[in-house]
Amino acid sequence: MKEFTYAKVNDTILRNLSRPGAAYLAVAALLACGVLVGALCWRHQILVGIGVGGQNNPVAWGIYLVLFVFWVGIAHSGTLISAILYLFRARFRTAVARSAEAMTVFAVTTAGLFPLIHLGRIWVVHYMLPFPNQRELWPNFHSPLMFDMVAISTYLTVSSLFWFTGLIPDLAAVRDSATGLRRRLYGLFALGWDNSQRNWRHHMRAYLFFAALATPLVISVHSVVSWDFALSVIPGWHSTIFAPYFVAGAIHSGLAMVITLLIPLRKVQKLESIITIDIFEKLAKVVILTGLIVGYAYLFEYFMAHYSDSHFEIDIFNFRAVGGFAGPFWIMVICNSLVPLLFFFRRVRRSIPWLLGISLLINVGMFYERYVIIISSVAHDFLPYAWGSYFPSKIEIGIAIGAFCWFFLFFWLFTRFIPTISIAEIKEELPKPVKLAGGVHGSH
Amino acid sequence: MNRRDFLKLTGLTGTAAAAAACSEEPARLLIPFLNAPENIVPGAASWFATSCRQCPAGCGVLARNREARIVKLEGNPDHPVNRGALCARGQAGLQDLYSPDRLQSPGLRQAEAVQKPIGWAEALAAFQAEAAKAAPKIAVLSGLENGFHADLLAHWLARAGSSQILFYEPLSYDAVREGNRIALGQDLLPTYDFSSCDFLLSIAADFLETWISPVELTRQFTAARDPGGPKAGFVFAGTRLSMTGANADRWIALRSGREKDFSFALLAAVVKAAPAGAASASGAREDVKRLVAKLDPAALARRADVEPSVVQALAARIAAADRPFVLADGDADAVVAANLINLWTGSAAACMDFSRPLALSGVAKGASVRALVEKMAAGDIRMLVVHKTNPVYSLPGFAEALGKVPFVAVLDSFSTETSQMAHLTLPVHTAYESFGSFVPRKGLVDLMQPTMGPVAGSKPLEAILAPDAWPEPAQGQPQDPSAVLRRLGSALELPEGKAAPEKMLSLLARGFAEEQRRPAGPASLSPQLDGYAYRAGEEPDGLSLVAYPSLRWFDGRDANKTWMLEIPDPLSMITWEDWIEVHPERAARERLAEGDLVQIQTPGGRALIGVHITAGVHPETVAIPLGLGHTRLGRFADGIGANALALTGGALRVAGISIPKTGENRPFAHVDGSRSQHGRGIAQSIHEAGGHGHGGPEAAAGEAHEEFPVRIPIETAHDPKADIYPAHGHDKYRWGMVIDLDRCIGCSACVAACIAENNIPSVGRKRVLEGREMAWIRIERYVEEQENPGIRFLPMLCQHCDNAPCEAVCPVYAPHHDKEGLNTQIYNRCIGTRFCSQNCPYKVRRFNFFHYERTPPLNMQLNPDVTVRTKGVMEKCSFCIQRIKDAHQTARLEKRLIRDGEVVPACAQACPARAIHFGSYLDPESGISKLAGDERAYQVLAELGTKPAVIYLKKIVRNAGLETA
Repeated sequence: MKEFTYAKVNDTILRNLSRPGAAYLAVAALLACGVLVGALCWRHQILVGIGVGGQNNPVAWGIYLVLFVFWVGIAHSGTLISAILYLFRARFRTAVARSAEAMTVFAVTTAGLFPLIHLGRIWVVHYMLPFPNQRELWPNFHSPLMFDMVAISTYLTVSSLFWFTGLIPDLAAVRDSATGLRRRLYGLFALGWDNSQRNWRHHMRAYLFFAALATPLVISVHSVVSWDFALSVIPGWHSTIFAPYFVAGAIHSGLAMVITLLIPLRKVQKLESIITIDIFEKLAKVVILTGLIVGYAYLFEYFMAHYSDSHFEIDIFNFRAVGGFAGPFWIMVICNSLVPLLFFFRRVRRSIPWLLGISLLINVGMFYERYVIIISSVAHDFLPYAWGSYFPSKIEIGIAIGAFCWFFLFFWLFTRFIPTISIAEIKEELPKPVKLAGGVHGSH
Repeated sequence: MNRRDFLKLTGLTGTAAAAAACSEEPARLLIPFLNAPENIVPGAASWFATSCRQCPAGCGVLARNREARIVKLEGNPDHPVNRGALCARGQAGLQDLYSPDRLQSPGLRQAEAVQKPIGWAEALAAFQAEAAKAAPKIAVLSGLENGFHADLLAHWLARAGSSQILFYEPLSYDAVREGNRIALGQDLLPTYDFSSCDFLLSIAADFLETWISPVELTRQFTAARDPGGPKAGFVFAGTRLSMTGANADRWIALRSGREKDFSFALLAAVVKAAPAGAASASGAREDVKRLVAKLDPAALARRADVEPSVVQALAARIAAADRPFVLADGDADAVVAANLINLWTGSAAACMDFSRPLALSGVAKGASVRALVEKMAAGDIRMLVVHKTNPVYSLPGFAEALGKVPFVAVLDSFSTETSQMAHLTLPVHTAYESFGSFVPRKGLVDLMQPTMGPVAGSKPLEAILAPDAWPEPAQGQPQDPSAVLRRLGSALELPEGKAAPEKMLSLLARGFAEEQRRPAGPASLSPQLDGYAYRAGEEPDGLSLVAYPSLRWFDGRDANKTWMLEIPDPLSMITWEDWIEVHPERAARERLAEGDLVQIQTPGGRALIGVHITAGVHPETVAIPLGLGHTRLGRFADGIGANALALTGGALRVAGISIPKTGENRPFAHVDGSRSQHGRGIAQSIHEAGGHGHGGPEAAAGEAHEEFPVRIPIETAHDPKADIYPAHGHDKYRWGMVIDLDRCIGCSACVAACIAENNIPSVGRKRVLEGREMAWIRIERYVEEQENPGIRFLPMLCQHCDNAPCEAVCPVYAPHHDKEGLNTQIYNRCIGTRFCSQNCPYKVRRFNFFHYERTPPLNMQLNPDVTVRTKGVMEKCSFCIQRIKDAHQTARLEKRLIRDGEVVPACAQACPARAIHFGSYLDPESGISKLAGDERAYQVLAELGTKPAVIYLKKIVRNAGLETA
């Protein structure tokens, strides 16, 4: 980045916000169609009943909850990268923090859909809100689902605000280079940013505080999500390892998703000079760590099951590994804990095709991890007479496709409307300009 | 104006305004404001006594009438046959009444191929005209009747100058009657009573499911095997392991068609083992000795595929027992030998009362039915009246003969294969809409009365047969109930003579009249063995097929009922279709897998059927249930399964068949996730103390988790070390249930009762395959492979835990622990997260994945006391909270507490085995409190600390004592 000047940074990043071409619009239209498919499937489900999905007795939770956990997990590394790495002054985050945060916000938004889609009676979902009412009915705060609601909405609020706070100087930069309605719109969101010392002081403080505030959420949100399972009595769920296990898995999947998204992004937006291979290498090293933690969790679930000497626990883990769930189980183990070990090789870490391939495999593996956990335990719990199985229906797959399209549509719009890299932070990384002109030097 | 008046006024004006506004559509009122029918009080039920006519047993039932509709059938507690219990088929009689396939109007077929609906006047005119034309070559073929309706039919027939009336039942027990005639000199079916026997052997008689009078025999069986008293041993010998066999101490697998060999082997062994001959008449003793003198028990046993030592051991047990009793069916020779054993041991006179023959004794024997068919085929019958029976389905060859009869009139309540072939169909009332009488056995008369108004466009039999069946015009018109009642009264032969008209109403209210003293019977039972000898059957070796009456569809008459299709078979756990039972050895040999479709080929026909692999059938035999394979019975039954009666030529067994594979596999809609309990100790058992070498209760300790003590879900049982949350306080009652697994026979009467009481939808085959069945109570069937017969039944329902996992996880408190310990489900509050179901260790919660419709008029059966749940909400057993609330009302009006036993949930009420007990744990004197202290008591998954309110009593596994040293 040595050869960059402030002006060149602006130019490199902001040129991506120009009027979109046909290819961009076509992709956006395709994604919108996918969202529409999902919406129509949901409409059908509301009209006919949850039975259009594959859920049954005993597997009352299906792919919706799998995707819920999957997307909440994806949401994690955004905050990890932007907040925790910020606090640790890990400079490699600068180039990827913006996209990672955007991914977080969109992933939480996507995840938040699923508890709603999954409800048997969405039309009375307001019963979950603690509003005063004549009947003195109150939600049950013992229920992990209430924890979920609080945790997810907190996380969405904080991560959106954090993201927005970081965006303000960049929105001002876009405003300054734009005209007409565009200028007024960006101006509105730039909140009257005038690049003053006071602005910067407040901004930097606020960003730091938000980073500090968001950090515990990285741990708490997925811990809370894990309690949906860990606080139950079901074998394979009722385990204290769940919170750290889920958090590690979440970061694992989130990092993989960041890599998956950034590789095409840098290609499309020609950002190779800013999002360098060194950054990917560092991300890959973190993936090794999270992959090892996840692998450790897989191993220790087995150890604990056998150590507990509980018939039910041992049976469920055998069922997963060598029984009816062996297929998904081994996909999970191989993709999540074995494949990432390839990153120990420097050549693999620094090869874009390898990076993309492995990160995609981790995404698949993390989906299967949730599938294995959520489906297998209840399919094979205490009473053998009540054992069952589950397979997603067409409607559920339609909604899943809709959700993926929903996420990618938001991300696609993001790449065109918001600077995908923090202009201000990149400039901090640059060497100070040698000649100080008297006038305006580069626009922030 | 106070609040009440205000509400009344608002309601009144609101209703009036609504009524005025909706003038376009005629107002349809549930109960008219003016001239409301008598006996209808909104919200209050009336009970009408009548007789269950679903099978020939003749149980007494009470029909619960709410707002002029029958919503539930329960056994009449005073009735001597069933004493308040009612089997699943009996309860499903409601689905006959409300069948969407009821005949709505008379139909006439002339030149054209299909019947056309016609008016009643025209139909009756045609009926009378054809009868006049055909007289006297008229015959009546009717389902079993022996009271008022039999009388009407006979009278009508006599007017036409004929007396050819046959009461036809597909299951006519000819073999039993023939066996009784030869061995005991009685060509009858006796009233059985083996409740005080100490050893029972059944040879192919499935008396807990369908055989003769299952509810009554179940009661006797459980009385003989009462876990509290001296327990009778029970051994079952048969080709397949029926539900009756599953309740035995030992199942002896017989080769198909060799029941008589086994039976005679045993007779010979008994004669040797018990030379005293007990109470048998001396003449008979010599006859029997002569009969078995040349028989070699070992060879006979081997013919039946039984170890000779087993027969020896069995004979020894019979000889050692005070009162052993052998029931038999299958073939007449087997029954002869069984009866001779009973005669030899002196139990024949004690357990079989021939002075009170059963109604089934009046059923036409196969030979006379065949004679009628021949006459029909020969053109000797000009007009045939078929009344409430379906021989085209159940009698192979009948359809061809029927084609030769110039005029066929079918009098039935719904369309059948027979009515489809008729020239004239006349819809007749079901038993629940008619006056009538039925004599289940001599000395006992059931009275039937209309329990509600007609549902379909049918008429009572007396109105159809009038005027010819209505001898005295002075007695009024047959449409006039009081005239019918008078006629019914005059036709009744009560023990104390004719019923006085003023007594008729009280008789109807009671539902039956019984003679107190035993009628004079035959002086002695003497065998008619002249010229009789054991002859080995000529059964060809090879694969044979056995068809057996189904617990759910009986002989096929109950096949068009969604309840009977959806309640799983107690052993195969399959719903909505039939199957062919194949032994695992044969399946392995022929590479058959569960659900493989085979083309079964018999001399009687062929059919596609799915393979169900079970060790509960002799390896050289395959078995299929009776009852399906209908073509024109109704929308639910048509087109599924195979007609086993046709396949076996009506004989229920046929040899030399083949079951070639088709290569297709069609998964069964079965409801069991696993046949085995995987050593989890869910349905627990103990071995009988002091049994034959198997040790006491501690011998079973290895079955895992039994060590957990029973923790009764009341405050005093709260243990701060085990319970995180504080104890629940309970007002006055803590409802709970005790289920005695030693009594439970798996018959599913409770399931039917629950379905009827709680408006549980039948979801259909597709939904069952998807795992969306809705029953609140299910009979879990586990197979213990190491044991014989090794079947465990466990009724599983909401356990109403004190520490309910479902309650904690619901975000909106829809599952809620109430002040009487009930785990209530508040449907209105439920948002459908299904977390409760996920977290329920017993998996008893049921989710409404769809909005389930009931085909009208089946919806008329819905119990108005219970909400019909909408899509998207969770539901489960409520311990029949509506009945608890009802008891509260009564108790409060009478200013007292609810008495123990006052609340009886539907399942407990129906149970023929009296396995289910209900009450409050807060009352230390209550029945369940005492039972909970039994040494057999345990809670399912007690180690989870949920403290279930349902406590089970372990099954006692008894040693049959047939081990060969």
